[in-house]
Amino acid sequence: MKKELLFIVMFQIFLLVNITSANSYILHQSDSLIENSKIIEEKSMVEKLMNYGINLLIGFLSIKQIGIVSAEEFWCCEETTEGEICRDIPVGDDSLCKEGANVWTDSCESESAKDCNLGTCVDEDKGTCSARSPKLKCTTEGGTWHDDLLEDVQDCNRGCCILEEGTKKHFRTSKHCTNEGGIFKPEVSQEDCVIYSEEMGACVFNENDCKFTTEQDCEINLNGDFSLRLLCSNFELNTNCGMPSKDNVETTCYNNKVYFLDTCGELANVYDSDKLDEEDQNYWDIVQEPICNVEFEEGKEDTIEGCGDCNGINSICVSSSEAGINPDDGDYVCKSLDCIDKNDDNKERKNTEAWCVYESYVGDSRDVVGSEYRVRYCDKGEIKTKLCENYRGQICAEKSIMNEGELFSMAECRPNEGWKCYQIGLENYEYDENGIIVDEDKTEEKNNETCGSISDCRLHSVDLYSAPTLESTKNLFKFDVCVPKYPPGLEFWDSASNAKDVCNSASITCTTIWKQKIKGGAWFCKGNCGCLSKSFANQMNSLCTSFGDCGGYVNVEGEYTKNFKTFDKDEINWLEEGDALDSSEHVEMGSDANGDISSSATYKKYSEQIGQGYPPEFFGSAEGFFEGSSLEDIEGPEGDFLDISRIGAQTFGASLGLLFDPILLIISLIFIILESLTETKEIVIEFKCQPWQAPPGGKDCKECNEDELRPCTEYKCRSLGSTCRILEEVYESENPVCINTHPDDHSAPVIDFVSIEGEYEAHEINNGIKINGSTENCIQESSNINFTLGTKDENGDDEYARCVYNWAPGVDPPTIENDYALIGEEFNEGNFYSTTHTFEGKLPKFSSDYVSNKDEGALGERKGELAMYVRCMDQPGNFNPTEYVVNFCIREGPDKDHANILEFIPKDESFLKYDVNETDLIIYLDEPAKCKFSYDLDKSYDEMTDFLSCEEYYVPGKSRWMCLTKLADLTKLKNEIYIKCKDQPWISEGDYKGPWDETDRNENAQGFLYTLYATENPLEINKDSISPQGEKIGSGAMKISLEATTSGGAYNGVSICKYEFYMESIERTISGFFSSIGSTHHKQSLILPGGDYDILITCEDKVENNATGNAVFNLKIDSSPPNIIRVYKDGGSLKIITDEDARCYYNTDVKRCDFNLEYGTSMTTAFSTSHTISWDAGVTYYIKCRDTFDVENEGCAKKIITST
Amino acid sequence: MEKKGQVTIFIIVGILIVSSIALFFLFRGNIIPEIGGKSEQNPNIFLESCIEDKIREGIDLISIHGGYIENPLNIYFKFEDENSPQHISYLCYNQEPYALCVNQEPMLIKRLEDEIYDYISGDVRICFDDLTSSLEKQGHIVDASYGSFDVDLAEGKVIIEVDGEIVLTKTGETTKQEDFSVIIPSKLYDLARVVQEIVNKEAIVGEFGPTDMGNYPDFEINEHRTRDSSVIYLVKHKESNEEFRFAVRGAVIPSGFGMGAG
Repeated sequence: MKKELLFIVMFQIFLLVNITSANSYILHQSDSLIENSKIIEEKSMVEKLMNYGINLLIGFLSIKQIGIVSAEEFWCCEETTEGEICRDIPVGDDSLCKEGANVWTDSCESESAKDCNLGTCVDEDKGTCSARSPKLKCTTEGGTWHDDLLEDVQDCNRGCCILEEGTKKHFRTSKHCTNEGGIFKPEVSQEDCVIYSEEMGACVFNENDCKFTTEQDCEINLNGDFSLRLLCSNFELNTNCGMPSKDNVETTCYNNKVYFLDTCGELANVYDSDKLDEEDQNYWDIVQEPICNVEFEEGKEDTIEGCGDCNGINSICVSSSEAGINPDDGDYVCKSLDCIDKNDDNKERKNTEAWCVYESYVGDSRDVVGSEYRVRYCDKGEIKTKLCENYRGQICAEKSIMNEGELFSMAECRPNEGWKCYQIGLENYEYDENGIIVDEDKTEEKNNETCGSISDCRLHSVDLYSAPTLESTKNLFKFDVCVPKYPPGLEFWDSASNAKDVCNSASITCTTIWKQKIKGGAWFCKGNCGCLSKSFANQMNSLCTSFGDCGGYVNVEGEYTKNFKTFDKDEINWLEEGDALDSSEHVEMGSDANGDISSSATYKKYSEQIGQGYPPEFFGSAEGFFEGSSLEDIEGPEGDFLDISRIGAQTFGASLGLLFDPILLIISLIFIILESLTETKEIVIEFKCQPWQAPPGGKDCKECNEDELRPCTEYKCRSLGSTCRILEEVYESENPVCINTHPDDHSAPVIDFVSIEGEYEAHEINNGIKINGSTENCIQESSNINFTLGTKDENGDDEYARCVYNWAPGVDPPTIENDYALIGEEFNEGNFYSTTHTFEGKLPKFSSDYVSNKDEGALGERKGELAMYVRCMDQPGNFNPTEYVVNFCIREGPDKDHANILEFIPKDESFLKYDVNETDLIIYLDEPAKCKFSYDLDKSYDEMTDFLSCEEYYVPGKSRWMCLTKLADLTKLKNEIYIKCKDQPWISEGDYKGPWDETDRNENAQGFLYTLYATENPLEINKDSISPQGEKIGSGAMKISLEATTSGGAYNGVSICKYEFYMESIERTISGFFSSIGSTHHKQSLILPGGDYDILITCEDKVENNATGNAVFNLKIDSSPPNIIRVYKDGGSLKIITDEDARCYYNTDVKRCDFNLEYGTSMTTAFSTSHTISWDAGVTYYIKCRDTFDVENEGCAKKIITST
Repeated sequence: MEKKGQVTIFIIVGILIVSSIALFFLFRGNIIPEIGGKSEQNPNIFLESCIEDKIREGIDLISIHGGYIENPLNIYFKFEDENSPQHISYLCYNQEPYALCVNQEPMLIKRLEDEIYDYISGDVRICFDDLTSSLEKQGHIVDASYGSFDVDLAEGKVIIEVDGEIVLTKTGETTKQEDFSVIIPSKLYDLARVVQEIVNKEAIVGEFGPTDMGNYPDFEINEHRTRDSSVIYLVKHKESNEEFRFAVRGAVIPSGFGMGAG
């Protein structure tokens, strides 16, 4: 029994040490950076032509977040208006602070805000300790505050406290024990902090009285005769106590077992109903192990009724009333602490056993929307469920071990480390000059290894590569992304949440190249045609769903919604009937590239395969020995998450630090294009990854309430339907109920006009509005328009709806066949439900086919009519069958404004990586244009160098156009680049038939100035600053402080550092980030067992300057107490020498060796090997010592009797 | 005749002796008169019966609200088996994502003592006054002074130490009693110690898991996670059924790992 107990104890300690709940609470989604894109320089006319075929994976530019330049600043508020003590508040925002409370103009951890520094608070009177306690709060209330972690405060060490001459033992703090006058034994575990009956015996006093107690108690308090392990009912002792008669048996609980009481009420042996006859006197004479067994199986109830040998782990002693069982004798009985799991076929579970409960397929980035992780555990006979952090912020990790031939399950909620995937830098696939991929396997293997080093990450490949031929560039589209295995949940219903940013990171644009075989003939796709294919959409959606609740995916009920946008033939409005793609694998012209991903069947299975897949590993990538689990040093997210500029046609979640290297390829194909003189066009295909939205209506809301194993949460409720909500809003409750808030709403939303910006007016017409210019009826083509519509219910109240618009009428409404998709372009609100719907963008050009009833006026002055057709669908799924119309009169007119640059990537005045003199540059313009650049101020537009590629294609509704190029020869410390752009590039194209000419194109004569700085010095880790080095000695698992200081780089050493090393004992690579972010001094506490260590430290700054260093040291564990190696008399002194530095204490009056050192008399004031006391003849000195690692002698180091 | 007279004398003498003895014990100065009348054997018992309900009421209120009668830093939460929600105090709190909670009440036991003190202070004085009134009604001349009182939580009990003095005079005899104490059995102290351990675990590692619960075999610990990632704890002493509730919020991992503009 003791061995089993010992195993369980050690096992639980192992769990406590190794389960790192918070090791990965290291958050640094700080600034992002674009990695160099790979652009092959132009070489020939062919290549120039093929520049159009650049595959712009804009959404996938590698943006590594490697640190911040400056940490976000805080003030510290002593107490907020809400009563929160010591909170960091935004600088200047002291309105959050309670009146009269102190406000410091620095963070609460700073020196200046001392009163709010966190430490350990000791209640001297009660002997309790509190971690992470603000100083002032502690001291004001009478506590003693220590600027230390709880485990470093000696008074707070926990151990076994022996009280009242050994008759009582309690597990408590050292201080509490001292207060009670007990003997403190830190080395004794909680489980062993009991008084075993084997340590006690019969104390006979006053001739025949007897007490079953400890020797000390007998000697000191009772002055009796002690007999170890004999019972008071021992016949030979002839006491007043004896075996009770069968009808007068009393029992009691002791050490979780049922014990007999003798006739004096003293403890005897473990209850055994067969030991009440005269021949059983031996059982009443001495302490002995019981021979009966308690079994809880069905049919073995008599063992429970007749035996009190509970094991203390799976069964304990309770009153018969609590157990509901009547023992044969007495009032106490063993009660099983094990559980029966009725939800799992009545499976038996041991007390403290825990296991995971899943809601869908797990891992492989396939967790369905609304699913979360739970731990179920057996707690003293009752099965309980614990929800891990919402939105899969925590995941449940489980493992089984063998315990005496039976499997024992362990499970814990642990942080989802998926965010680390975004920090991983992967290799790009390389292509030769002919566009052939090279070293593909090697790159894939390397990426697999890199990504796989984080246990919660997996490598996701998008592969649309096929080798180019003489005929076509085909597809040069292959890249790898490191994504979370367990994607995070999102507040997908909330447009103010981060859902849009997270999902948008998986958006992509791809430029396809089209050519005519003969001039004026049909158009054929010649380059990157794979982006038109179903495979593209399928693969991209698969990536999209890996990021979180994004894209086309299912909820826990298997209900699918689409949530992405792909190629739509209607975008290519200059293609005519008969134009074709050059491969049958491409999507049909009349459809969009949904492929079979629009079918819920593809993904429904993930909602049904509960718990299948790849459950999380028990440990994250960092180990439980690491004091990353103590977050006291770790700062939260800092810096501006969106420091990186927006990229692509959509907002790119810059703070994600995503994702993968850009594959910007200029295919320098050397192939003969006989049609080199024919026209080419590029079509930018966009895959837009959007936040997942719940299916319309609320038919499944109630499903949330049906599963007692998986109680409802808001996240799951919202995922079941657009109208599903948790019932109460004002307060939280134990079992939230999910309801359909609009069960009887069958009315379509009413669309109305809300507002318009600028010099425009809107007039209501039948089921629509007409928008005019304020001074004239018609609006000039290509104007920016910003207006807002609203949606209301039949009562006139605002109603949440999703709306889309089309420039042509008659688009299919949502149907069950198209999965209730709203077909059309989205307003600014995207695919979120909203009460307002804003259009902000350019109107179509006059030449567009969307403009009708064009008059026959003079070229450049003609007018026509344009209509926008709006359809909205509310949350219950009602939509307006007749589209709401916004009418415009469009007037031909010259564009008089030049293009403006909205954004630079990298940002203006950024740094280049050290020793790098080239970079890619992306700029965003407010209209399509052709741009050029020069390093000289004086050059005219025509003399400058072309950008490699620009989006020259006008798209109504769009508001940003991208240009991309590569900058080289950036050899100066300050590199200035001048950019000029000329708008309306189509005017220069051969087939332009409009009224404008080259002179109508606007150019910014001044030039936009763009500056890049060189990094003067490489980033370095100062070798002397790395610690520890060499040998360190400690006891037990040692706490060490891993430190390093950086300098140089782009930001004077400010960088993020990572550590990594291999632990042979557990055959794992351990890695993690230093807790200091955005600084030059990096520090991380680790708790390590003894051994040799070679820790690789890697630091990287914001522009990817990196440096490495190693901390090489040996940890030697000293677990031996000091030994006295010499004792002698020196004059009038007794001198002892120890084999190591120690503090030694003695006592002469307690006369035993198990005294508390605090009660002994110190022989030295400091740690030393030499210890002296005055020589007193004829005295017995009981001496104990404690070394610098807190290891002390269990008994006496020495017992010295001085001669007389 | 003579014999009858002797018997008579012996009887009379016997009566006299017995009466003398009885009178001696009755009127000697060391007899302390009973204070408080029949139902109160001593002032402590009187005070206890007077104040006990109020103390228990205070303990219950404080326990279900997380250690305070009122605290602005709280969460409004309803348990399934209760009719209405309660305000439950945060004992460890941090609003920021990924940040461990900060211990809001490091001297929890002292806080509980102070809360009980505030709750019963008026009633202690009233009970003391009632005690003196009761003694007066019993014919004593009472000279009482009331100082203050202390609340002390200890293992298995709540101790109220009243600093006061009562001097009683009756039939020329004077007695004095001072420093009264009331002891109410309660597991509040024991619960508070467990609560502090849970709070420490939450503050240090951000989690108190099923494994940790095994360290407290005498207590039943339940927890519930709310929508905003607060955790409500319910700690119950199994034998006495006394319970303590409190809330914690820290080490929250927000949706989408908190990344993006939000």
